[in-house]
Amino acid sequence: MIDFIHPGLLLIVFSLLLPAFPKKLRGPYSVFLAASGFLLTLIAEPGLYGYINLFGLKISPLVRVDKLSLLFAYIFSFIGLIGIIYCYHIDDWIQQMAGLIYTGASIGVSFAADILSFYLFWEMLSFCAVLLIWAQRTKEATEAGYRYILVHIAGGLSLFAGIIILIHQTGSYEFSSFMNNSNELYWWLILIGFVLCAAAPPLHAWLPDAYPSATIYGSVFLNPFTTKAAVYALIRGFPGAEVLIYLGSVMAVYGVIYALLENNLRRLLSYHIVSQVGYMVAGVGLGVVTLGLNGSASHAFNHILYKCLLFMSAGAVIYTTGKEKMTELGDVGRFAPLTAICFFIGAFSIAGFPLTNGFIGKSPIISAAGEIQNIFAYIMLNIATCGTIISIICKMGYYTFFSDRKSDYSVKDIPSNMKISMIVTSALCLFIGILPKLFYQYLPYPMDYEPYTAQHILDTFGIFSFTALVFILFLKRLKPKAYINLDIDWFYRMGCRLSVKTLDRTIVPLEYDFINMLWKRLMDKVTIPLGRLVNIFETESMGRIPLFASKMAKTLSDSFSQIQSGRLQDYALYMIISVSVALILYITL
Amino acid sequence: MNQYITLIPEIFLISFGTLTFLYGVVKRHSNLIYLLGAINLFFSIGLVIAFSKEFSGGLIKTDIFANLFRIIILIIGILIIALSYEEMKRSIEKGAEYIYLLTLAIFGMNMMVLANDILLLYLALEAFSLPMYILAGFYKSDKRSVEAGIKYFILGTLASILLIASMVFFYANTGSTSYEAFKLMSSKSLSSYLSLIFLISTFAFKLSLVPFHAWSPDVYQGSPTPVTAFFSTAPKVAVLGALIKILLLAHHDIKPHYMIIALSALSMIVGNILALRQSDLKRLFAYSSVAHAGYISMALLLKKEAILTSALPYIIVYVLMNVGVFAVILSMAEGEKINNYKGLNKVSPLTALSMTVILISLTGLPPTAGFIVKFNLFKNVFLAGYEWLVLLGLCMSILSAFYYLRIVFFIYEDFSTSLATQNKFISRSISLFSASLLIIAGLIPQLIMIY
Amino acid sequence: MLEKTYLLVIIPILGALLLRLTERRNLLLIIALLSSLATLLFSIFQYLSLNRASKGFQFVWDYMWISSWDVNISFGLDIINAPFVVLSCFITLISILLSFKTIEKRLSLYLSLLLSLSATVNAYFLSNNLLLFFFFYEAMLIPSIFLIKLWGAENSSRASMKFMLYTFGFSIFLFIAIIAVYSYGGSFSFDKLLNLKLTLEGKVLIFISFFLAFAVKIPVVPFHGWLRDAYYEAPMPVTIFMSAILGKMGIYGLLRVAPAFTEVLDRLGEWFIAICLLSFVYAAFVALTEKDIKAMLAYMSLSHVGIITAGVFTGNIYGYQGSLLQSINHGILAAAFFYVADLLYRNTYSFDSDKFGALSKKIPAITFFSFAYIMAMGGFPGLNYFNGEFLLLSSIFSENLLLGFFGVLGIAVGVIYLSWFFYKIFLRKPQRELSLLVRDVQSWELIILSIIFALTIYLGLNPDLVLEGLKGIEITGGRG
Repeated sequence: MIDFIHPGLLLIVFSLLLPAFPKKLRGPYSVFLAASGFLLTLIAEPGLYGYINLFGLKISPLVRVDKLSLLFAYIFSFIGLIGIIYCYHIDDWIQQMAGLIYTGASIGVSFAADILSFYLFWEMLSFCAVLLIWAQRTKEATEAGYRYILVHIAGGLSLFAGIIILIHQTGSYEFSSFMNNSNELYWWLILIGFVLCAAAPPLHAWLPDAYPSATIYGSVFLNPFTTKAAVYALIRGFPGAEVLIYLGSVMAVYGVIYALLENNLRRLLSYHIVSQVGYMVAGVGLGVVTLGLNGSASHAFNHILYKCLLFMSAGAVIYTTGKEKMTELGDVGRFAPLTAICFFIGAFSIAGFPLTNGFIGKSPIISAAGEIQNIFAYIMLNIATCGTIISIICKMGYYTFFSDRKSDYSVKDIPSNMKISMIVTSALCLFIGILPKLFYQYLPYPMDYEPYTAQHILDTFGIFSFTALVFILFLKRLKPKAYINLDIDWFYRMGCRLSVKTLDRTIVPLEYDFINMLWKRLMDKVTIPLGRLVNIFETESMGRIPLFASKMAKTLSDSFSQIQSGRLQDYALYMIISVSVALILYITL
Repeated sequence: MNQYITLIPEIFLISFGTLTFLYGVVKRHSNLIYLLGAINLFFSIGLVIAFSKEFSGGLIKTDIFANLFRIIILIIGILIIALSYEEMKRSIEKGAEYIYLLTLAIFGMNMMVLANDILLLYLALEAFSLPMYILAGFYKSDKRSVEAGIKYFILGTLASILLIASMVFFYANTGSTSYEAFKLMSSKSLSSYLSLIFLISTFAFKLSLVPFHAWSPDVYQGSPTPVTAFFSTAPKVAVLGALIKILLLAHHDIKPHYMIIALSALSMIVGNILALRQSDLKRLFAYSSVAHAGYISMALLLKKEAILTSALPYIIVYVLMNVGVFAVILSMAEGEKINNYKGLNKVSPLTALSMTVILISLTGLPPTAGFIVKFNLFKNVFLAGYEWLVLLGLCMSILSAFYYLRIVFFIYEDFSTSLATQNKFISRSISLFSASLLIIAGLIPQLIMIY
Repeated sequence: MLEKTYLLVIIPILGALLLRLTERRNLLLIIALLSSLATLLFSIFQYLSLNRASKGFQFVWDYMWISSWDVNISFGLDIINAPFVVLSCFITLISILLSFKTIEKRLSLYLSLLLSLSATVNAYFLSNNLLLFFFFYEAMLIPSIFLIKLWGAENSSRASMKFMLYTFGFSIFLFIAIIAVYSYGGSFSFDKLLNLKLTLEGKVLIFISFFLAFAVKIPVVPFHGWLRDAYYEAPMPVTIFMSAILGKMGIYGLLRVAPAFTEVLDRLGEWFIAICLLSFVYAAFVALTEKDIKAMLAYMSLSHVGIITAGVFTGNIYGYQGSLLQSINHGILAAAFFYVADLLYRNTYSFDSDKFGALSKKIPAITFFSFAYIMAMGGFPGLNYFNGEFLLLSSIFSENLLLGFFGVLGIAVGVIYLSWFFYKIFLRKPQRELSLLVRDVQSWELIILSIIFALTIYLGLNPDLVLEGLKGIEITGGRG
């Protein structure tokens, strides 16, 4: 494999050396490593590389570099670099190492040509994520980490089972589109595995559970990789699967609804990820037209950029003030203007304002929905855009940076590396937004799409204005509350065009009361008691077997020893009886 | 005339024995008697080897196996005398009588092995049984010993009566008293059954097979320990020698198979189960002998030569093991109490090691000879078709592991024992000797596969 | 030089005898180390020179033993037993090294017994005929019961007695099987297994006998009653040896005889797999609620050997390969886990998992290695355990879908209790009482842990080291 140096493998292997470095050098080393990873990805040539002999079978190729993989690899390695710069200053090599391995594994996933190495890197993603979550070292974080493990093991096992069945049935190790075999068991198993990692409801609760529980640097790493790797996998394996359209649309709206309700900065953003990934999933589903796939890929790319930017700024706010909840913040803009600016660039990007990369990234998907005339998707995705605007720009942006200060917090200055990473990312967001054609070149399929049409711009402005109006009118009612208030159901009726009251009645209790509880119950009421039962059985029954046997032997022994009475006459009697018995038996038989 | 040539070793044995007895009576309090007794036996061995030509005639018949049995019995005698010397030299006055009785018993046993005639068989039986009754009760002041003697005497007489009964039916059936007549016995007549059943009953008594075994625990426990050692080995060798001889001659059909199976199975079961709860080692090894007798008697079910190939190595190893065990018991003060073995390893590691090896051999675990011979025996019996019997034997062997290894565990316990081993050099060397032979035979089995 | 396979048995025995001559720790260390290192190096040397393409035994050493039965002492290597021999020598070395840290009294006798146990086990793996096989199967009982009884904790008598009775008890079945082969095949040689002129029922009975005899050694639920006490009461180096090697004796036995019974496996294979997987899941659930670390690890070991054994019964080559490979992997990892447990025990003298906590900052090295081993045991791809699991699961799935899901369930529970273990000991805050006493690993023990870790990665990336040439085994049964 000398014709190709796998940047992912490089990152993973060399990041293991990180703890060996003295503290002062760890930061520079990790930046160096991430930068080399990025450079190597940039210079990677399209093609198929590598082979391996495993169990007597030759698996080749191992590495596939094409436009789709490159797109994802570029953004993964870049955001890994940004993330490393962001956490340059921290004194926790576990997070830095986990971040590097995470980056490397994502690049590995993008470049994997065969299903086995793909699975290898895929699993690595989960483990790195858990490390990052646990790095926070609080009770909440460890429990969140557990739930993360649980979910991802389930998904991983489903995926693994699917892979095995796939290999068994087709005999090939290649990882490419499965769309020809959509009725097979393994199709569903693998799909479930991917979809779970993409945080599709009802299997999504791990995301808003785990991401806010990690450290702020951890969140920066956590948010781009797992879900977007899942999107990549979906684009690669299931382009055009119709079920994904509906799943994605529901995701988009669902996530945004909960984002609207949230108070915790990062949890809001996490629910939002669910929403945005919903767009991408829908785009994959709309992949019968290449616009859909392109849209998905480009949205993924851009989403990584601005979501990370949002997490970075949220992290900066948390770093500066020490507070995570909007009910305790407010007026931060005065103390951290740079953070505020970067945040709003990210916020506008995510909403899809013209001149930002969000605009050129998101609209292809919606247009694709229009193109194949899927009304459901079209409407849902637009609703979600509204919700995005309200939740992030309006709610989060306003109540964090501009409104009245709600509690006493101290202000710390953020270190310059954080500033640098935020600035670079914002710049890139704007840059891509302004020069879309440059970006479209990198998309996997030829893109004949012109985002800056008058129609589009007008549409977008329309949505923005309307939602801004709604927001200002209902400013007070939208104030973040520290507790969930079911009385805001009228809000849904006002802000959105569809009746989501039913959603409210069915899904909200579903979410909080049922799904979360289900997991706790599964462990506490099923697995552990089962374990205890078996344990008791083991000690009582199994342990008793030898005891029983020995008791029996003792009893037998004691009873037999009665024969040995010590009396001569008994002995003589035995002898005579035996002889007589033998005689009688022999004579008669 | 020739038969007397073959009998020269026995004649020598008796004559020299009588002379030493007279000497011993005259010169009381001389311990030379023991040495003389041993020399007597030693020379007899030499004579057996010298006059070992096969011979068949008159009332006796020798062949290589009979000679082998004679030598084994004589060696046992030497070892027992050695053990007795240490144990009894100070405690009894009548050393001369003791040695003479032993010699007489050995003489009787040799005759039994040589016998080719049922009358001689009976005489030999009486000849060795009577001294043994007296030997059992030799410690006159010990109640137990006297009880042992009386019990043995009465029950032994009963057994002799059974033999007479057997003889009666045998003569009635065949008209002759020679063993050759066994070939003529047919399987249809009542009298042949009767004679064989009674015959086997007698032998079962001496071998202590269940349910004829009841005397052995009490007698073993009560007798003086060297006598017990003698009881557990020599008579069995003699009796087996005679029995094998008879069975080789008899037709396969007339053998009372079911009786032998029943005896064997019952002995294995009862012997092992009752041994589990014993804390007196002499009694424990009495039951152990019962069990082993059960194993050996399985071989009697086989045809012709197979009996020898299975039983002979087992007998040799069994003798070694038992002599060794009793040697260890003798080398300790109050060696029959199992609790005295706690922490033996600290006091005398060599004795501990010997005992461990012997016990492992009794259980039938490699790398000792006990494993080899048991495997050999079970294999042959299994291949002959008696699978269930072998299965029973195996299960009972496992049971035996418990009580043998219990002693081993006691030995190696971390316990500071206050009982020092006495300065019994001979006993300890005999035990060590037997243990090493067991290991060597275990690693090089060819040594005992003699046929 | 390579022909002298008997050296693998003689060198440890010689070492054992020499060790009894002295009591000084330094000398004991030198003798024991030299002996085990020499054996290990020789076995590796033989392993690397093994011709992977030939099917019979190589480096055969014959010695006339019992001519009356036509049985020789015959030791030889082939592709099936060679990995086990190397594993055995390696684990012996690790046990001996650990013994110097764990055993206080009567070290000379202890090492002597350990080396003789090692010699017996080596001889067992190397045996070329059934009688020798049986001989060493029984012979290893004696050193092991002494090792458990004399250096064990309070209940050691009971533990060793249980072990003895179970193993000795079930050896009846091996005896029966061997005698049956002898009577229908004609001799004790292994080849005769393949040409048995028997009806199917007869073969089934013989196979069940073999199965019972080996199932108690591995062990497989429900024949595992001795395991908990024996593993728990024994001193840690002995536990390592038992877990890593003695169980594999049973699996090796099954690997040896299974190719001869393909018809039996065709019909009844699923039942055996079901029993083994039951063992797998059962033990996993017990381990879940065990608070005591050593007991939990014992059940973990029990659990994993269950699925390894299942692989043999699938009757297809992947299951077979998986069993072989996973045996080696499990041996290495089980040794690693028990070693870590012992490191925790060192200064605290307790195995109670409730009393540890928050150790990740205090003992980073141990944390790292524990995490690595847990990743491996959890089936992380790239590490050795994944390869075996992959092979085993594929073969089980191809036999029966339901059984496959059972296997997956067991794996899932396995990951749960392992991560829980990690959490309780290393991550949970606050520190509990005993955490203060724990010290990190140093010097040569660190090297041992790293070597195991390196082996884990190496075997993970290069399983052909163990598996090469195995395709030649003719296993045509099952549906795989």
